[in-house]
Amino acid sequence: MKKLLRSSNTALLAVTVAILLVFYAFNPNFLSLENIRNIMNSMSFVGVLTVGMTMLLICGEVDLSSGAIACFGGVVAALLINSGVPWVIGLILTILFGAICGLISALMINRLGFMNFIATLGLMSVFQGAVALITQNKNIQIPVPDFWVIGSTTLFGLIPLPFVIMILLMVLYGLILSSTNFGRSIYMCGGNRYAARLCGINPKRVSSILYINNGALCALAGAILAARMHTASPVAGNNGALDAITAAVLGGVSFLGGTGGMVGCFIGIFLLNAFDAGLTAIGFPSYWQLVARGCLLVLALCLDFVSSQARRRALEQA
Amino acid sequence: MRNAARTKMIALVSLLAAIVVIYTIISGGRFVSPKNIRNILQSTVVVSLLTIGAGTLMIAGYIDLSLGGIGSMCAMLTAYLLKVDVPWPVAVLAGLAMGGIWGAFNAVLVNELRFQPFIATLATASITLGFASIISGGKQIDIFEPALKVIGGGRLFDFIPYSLIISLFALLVYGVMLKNTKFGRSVYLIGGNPDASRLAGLRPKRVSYLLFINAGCLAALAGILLAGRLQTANTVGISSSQFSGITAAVLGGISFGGGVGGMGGALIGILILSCFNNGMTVVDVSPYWQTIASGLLLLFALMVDFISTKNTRKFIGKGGSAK
Repeated sequence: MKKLLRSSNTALLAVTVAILLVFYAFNPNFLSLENIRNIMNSMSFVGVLTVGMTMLLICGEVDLSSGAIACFGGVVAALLINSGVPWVIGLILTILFGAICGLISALMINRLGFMNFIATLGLMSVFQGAVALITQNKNIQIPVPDFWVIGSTTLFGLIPLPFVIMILLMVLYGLILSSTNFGRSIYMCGGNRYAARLCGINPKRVSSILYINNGALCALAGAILAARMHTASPVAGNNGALDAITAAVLGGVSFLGGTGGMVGCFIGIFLLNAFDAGLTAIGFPSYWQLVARGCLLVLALCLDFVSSQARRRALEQA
Repeated sequence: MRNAARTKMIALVSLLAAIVVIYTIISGGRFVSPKNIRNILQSTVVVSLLTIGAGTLMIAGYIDLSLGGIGSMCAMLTAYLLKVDVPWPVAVLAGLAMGGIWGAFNAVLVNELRFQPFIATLATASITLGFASIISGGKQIDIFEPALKVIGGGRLFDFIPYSLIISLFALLVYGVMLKNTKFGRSVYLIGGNPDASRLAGLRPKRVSYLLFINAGCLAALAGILLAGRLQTANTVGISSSQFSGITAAVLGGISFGGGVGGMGGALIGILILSCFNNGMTVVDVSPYWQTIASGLLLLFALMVDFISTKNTRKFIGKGGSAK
């Protein structure tokens, strides 16, 4: 099992490298430092969303409101910091705010038994509307250079701080998934909820924690994005949820729950963003990215289908 | 069970009545002026067609998130064909056929490759929206064909929009089909329990192909009607109405689990949604509230669903213990 998982990651990595080389062959600037830094920057926002989404998907849950929470988080951070709250406290409050947004989903899904998909779809609308109402659909400038630091610092002249934050989060959540009781219980809940309950795990509690966690991560991502742009935009990241799902599925996280991990998640995000950047680098108009994204998703699912068939055959032979 | 459904229907109709009364009072009667009623009815057309497609799929236990993308892409294709002087019936048929092809594409992904409908149609949504821009080079294409303007925006007796007649007729046809034909019953059975339905001799795969193709064609029709009315096809097309279709279906009692709901409820769901949004504009509430309200309406629908099934659950529980 472990070997199979590892091999599917290797296959994904091979595909990614092949794609990079193709883009590089067409336009050598694709692998310039400048462009790599751009890819890292664009990865970091969706990356943090994908970390939260991956945890949810592994547990068999999904949150369509995560992009909207991120957007809301950016706006809340901007309002707090502009009203004179020190930026560290503003950031912490923003993360708390995101956690509360996640708590609302958690209550609706685990207390009232709403379908996760449709409940978070409704919340997405509510959050997007609330953001539009608060900002009157205008950008909010954040004239506080101290706050910009978390978004626009570059380490060693190459690696953007948001990227480092994303990597640290991935390592942290990867460790939680692979080496803690809680992590294993997430896989169990996603694999077989009923069996998990019989084993003494409370699936509702696990799912609620993950929704709250996802909300907090989304708000953090939104705040970092706002810090990088020096502005909170009322539409930034609205597609975040779908991007995060695409990236996670590309990285081998099954939509049915129970499989996947942070390594695949990283490769998925990287592939998605490198592909977008590559298409731009070889001169395709931006709307080709939409088509490419859909095709990548279908391709990833095909790979998943083939490998699950192979796994089933291997099991039948054993 | 039937009792619960009736309770829910009464709740929905009273909600609709309450919305109408409240808006009428606040707007001082403007809400029920003939002109505004026509506006409301006109605004139901696209949502109705999307709701029929999405609703029948949901009854059978599937979901399609690509209807907005498919509709936009097909409308763009029709507009493009008209621009290069293809006769309008051919252009429209080509648009509808393209909708069917995308529907079949979804069905292949779901049935042959066993993708989750949610994620498969998400991919299709992205691809079709991208193609909508590619066809036109990222711009909008104006439509000068008078026939399409008449179909999309023309009115019978200068009052009832033709497109409304089309969508109401479609609701009626699909409603009758679901309730009174063998095929309709098989849709419910498959949504209720796919394994049992296969054992009973039905062919879930065939039904799912038909429903996906049908939803694709209806989405294309919705896109083309809207483009005809606006006399232009743009790159986002009807994609913003995508979730309205699903919301209306859920509001009208079609459950995500499959197996329940019908077109009567869907019609009420559509009317609630359209009245609600139109009323917001009439009484001059900021349009941003509309986004919030449409989300709250969806959550409200879920709440109604929760309460009505709670009673059913209790009822079934009692029946079980009596045995």
